[in-house]
Amino acid sequence: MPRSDLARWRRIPFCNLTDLYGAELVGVRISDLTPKKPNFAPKAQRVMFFYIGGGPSTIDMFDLKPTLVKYDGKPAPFEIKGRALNESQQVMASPWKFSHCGESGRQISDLLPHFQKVVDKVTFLRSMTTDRIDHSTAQFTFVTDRGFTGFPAIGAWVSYALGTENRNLPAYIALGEGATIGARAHSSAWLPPIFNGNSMRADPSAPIFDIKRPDNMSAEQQKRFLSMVSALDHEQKTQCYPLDQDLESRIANYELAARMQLEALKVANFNQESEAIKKLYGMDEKVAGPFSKLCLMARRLSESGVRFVQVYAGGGGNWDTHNNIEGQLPGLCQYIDQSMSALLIDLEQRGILKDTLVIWSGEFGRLPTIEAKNSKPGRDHNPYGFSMWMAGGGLKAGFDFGQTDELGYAADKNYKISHSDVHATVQNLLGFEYKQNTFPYATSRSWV
Amino acid sequence: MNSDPIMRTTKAFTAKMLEETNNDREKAVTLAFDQIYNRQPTEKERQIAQNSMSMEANPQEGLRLFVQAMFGANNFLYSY
Repeated sequence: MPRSDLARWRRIPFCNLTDLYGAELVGVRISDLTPKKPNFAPKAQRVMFFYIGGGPSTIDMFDLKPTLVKYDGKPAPFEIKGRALNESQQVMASPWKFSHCGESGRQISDLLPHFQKVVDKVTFLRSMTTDRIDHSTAQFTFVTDRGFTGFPAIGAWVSYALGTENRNLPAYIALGEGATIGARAHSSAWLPPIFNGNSMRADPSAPIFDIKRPDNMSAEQQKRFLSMVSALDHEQKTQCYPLDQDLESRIANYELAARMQLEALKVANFNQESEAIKKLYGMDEKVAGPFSKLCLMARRLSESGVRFVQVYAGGGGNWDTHNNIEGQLPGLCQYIDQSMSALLIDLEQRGILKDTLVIWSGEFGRLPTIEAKNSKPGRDHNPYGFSMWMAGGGLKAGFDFGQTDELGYAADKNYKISHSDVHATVQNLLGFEYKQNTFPYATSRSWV
Repeated sequence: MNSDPIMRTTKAFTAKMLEETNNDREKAVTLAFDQIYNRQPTEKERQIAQNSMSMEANPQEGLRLFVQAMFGANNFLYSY
């Protein structure tokens, strides 16, 4: 998909206030979470999106490049451009051993022993690129297609298009932390707030801050409190802002919050899971334990009808291995390996992998050369060529799309793809035409 | 809006409103609107407050619950 097409898709139609208000006056509720029919038969019903913020070194994880060994410690055979190379053109082979895995025989790093066992279930996109080289702008591109703030994340677009299958839970939920751009990584921006990604934690006692009723408040009082908030909001809307979509969304959000009080606690209750499942995810493991809860919670939310679950893997720049990659990457891989692999097995066993689209990606990859040659070596950001994977949701398992050059530096120009293409693919698999998924934003400005 | 700080704040705020109006609950509602929203209540809003007070065995708790709702409502976000 050419980027220019994607740009047209996201261009907000020029319209005046009358257009938007007209829509409201004829009873069209654009801030509605009720399930909507896709444009055509979908292959996927729901999405789980692993957000590996920081730039995972995919050439050390699942994109083996034997040529790196040939040039290890020597200058690269062609110029490597970077951001903070410290003038280094010195190639660094992956310090880790790779093994042939599964029927597909793909080579996966021994850093990911659990993923090695499920690799036949996934589809690799091996020619990913992005036009941004710094974390913040690249992460905006990663989730919104735009390298700056203020645009809706893909989860918000999906929620807007399809709504939720469970009226007691939001359509879009974000689990954990790990975005340089914070909550903007799951923001609805100028889409109505009801499509915003709701932050949740994998904490059975408080999956959402203050979701539980205070001890000294009765259920009846809580009900009356929420009813009064709604009545006050409706009164304000009637008196002052009868056409305000944001206020309508806020009222809807409060109503949803009330319904979530029971449902969110139920979904976060891992006691309903068997010991075998807890073990599969590695819930008792010291390193993998925290991420296992996020993955299990993601599955429980998806099963409960949440359309789009975004799971953050690692806080801040954890995956940003500029220095000491040999010291850092093993622990990062150990943190995610068992649980993300278990999730694929679990989804398949439950028969829902076939219509659940699982996506794993960072905002960019890492260069084949050494950065910080005066300290323990690491790798700089690589926006020119990296890998990501997807699974389930009607995709061809075991298939690899595209490739990078012999060093894993740049994507093959014939297969070059970007996050925009991934977003268009996600929407296509969910059964709707991305060009028709537009929002009549009330503005006098023309967005490009 | 279920946090301990909001529960404590609304309790203290309600006590202050009643103290400043010599326990006149109708005036306390008017004063609460002035202090929280910087405006007078509408007739419907007065009615909501009255209902809340009449439904609690202790009307002060009904007023507190109403004040909590005022802090939770959209109007509070944009008051100045």
